[in-house]
Amino acid sequence: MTSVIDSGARERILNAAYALFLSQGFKPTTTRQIAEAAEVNESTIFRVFTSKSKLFQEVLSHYVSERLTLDLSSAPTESDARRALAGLVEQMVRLLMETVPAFRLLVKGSLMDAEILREVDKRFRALQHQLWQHLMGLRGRGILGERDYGPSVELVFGSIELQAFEFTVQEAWQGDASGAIEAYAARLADFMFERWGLESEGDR
Amino acid sequence: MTQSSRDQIVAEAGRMFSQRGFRETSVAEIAAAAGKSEASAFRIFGTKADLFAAAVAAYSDVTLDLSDLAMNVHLTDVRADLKAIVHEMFRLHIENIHLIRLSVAGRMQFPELRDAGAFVLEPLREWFRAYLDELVSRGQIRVRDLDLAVDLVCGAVFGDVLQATVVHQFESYTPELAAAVDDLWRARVESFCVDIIEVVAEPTGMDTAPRGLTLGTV
Repeated sequence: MTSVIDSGARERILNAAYALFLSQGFKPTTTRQIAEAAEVNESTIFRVFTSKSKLFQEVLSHYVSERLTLDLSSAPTESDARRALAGLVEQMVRLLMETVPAFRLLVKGSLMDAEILREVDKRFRALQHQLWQHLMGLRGRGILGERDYGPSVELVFGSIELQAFEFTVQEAWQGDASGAIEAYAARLADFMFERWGLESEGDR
Repeated sequence: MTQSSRDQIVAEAGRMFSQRGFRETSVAEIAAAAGKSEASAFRIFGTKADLFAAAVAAYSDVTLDLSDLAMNVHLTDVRADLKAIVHEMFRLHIENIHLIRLSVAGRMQFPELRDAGAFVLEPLREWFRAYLDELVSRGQIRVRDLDLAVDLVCGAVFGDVLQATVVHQFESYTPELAAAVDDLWRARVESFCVDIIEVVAEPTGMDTAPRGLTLGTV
């Protein structure tokens, strides 16, 4: 028997376990189910991850580092600043919507690892920071006015979090919410431009 | 008078489902915590889902007491009002954290709970909307998008509460948490009054990076 585990198997186990934990919860999910879904021997799971709870912690930290980051380089370039901002808001809503089901796993205190929580928290702050930097960029280009955007971004980000949750519920029961998400992002971008934009300063 | 078996089981179910989640909690565990047998729990409630629904219904019977909100608001100093409102929103959220957790979990899972999550948020949202509306009609503030302004404050409180209860694991509104909220909302209240709605005011200092609750314990 070989002790070498191909890296593909590890990845397959993590992905299969993530999907099963998410849909069934921690307790009802068995390592046998995970092994079957990942097409590996059940003993491989224990050899690589030691135990089901260790696997669970691995799954969460893997998820946090892989998924909970907004990759702005893949965003389509948008010459219209207002639409670009709406696009950024929309991306954030989508990303946070992905985290809502994972949050339901995190809420279970007995399964939580403080380090993972700190990491999730850090990623959330990083997202908020990306929005702030985007606004600072617009200010630098003379599109938005001179003001301190930090506290406003905190308020805006709270609204994005809350709406992401509402949209997740909406999608769970009524299907695709793309239209509503797009409309929300446009409305938020409109608000920021009309309230903070230099062009509208004169007619206030 | 002693609590009925039903009430005892419902109370334990609410607490345990909230702390551990629906799937991670068995009816046997809930029954044991209430000092009852699993068989009697199933006899009373039928299924685990019915027990969950009963736990949420029990919380929904609680009426949200908004009288402290009304008492601490004077409609003269918007900034002072906002500080009091945020504290009160925080307190009400954290006091009802079990219900919020149950509804967050339940709304995705049970069609009959789809709108139940509105319980804590919705009355606060309506109240805050009415408050801002009153200021508008008195000519004290101007608002471009009233619903969005309401959403920004309620959303930020919701985000903070998530952070305080999930990341920092607070289960009650302690003086330490209240102080952190105070610190966090000082700049936000100012920003809300100047950048979101319009109250005649001086601009604040520049370039404060956004942040989260600063607390010693994680």
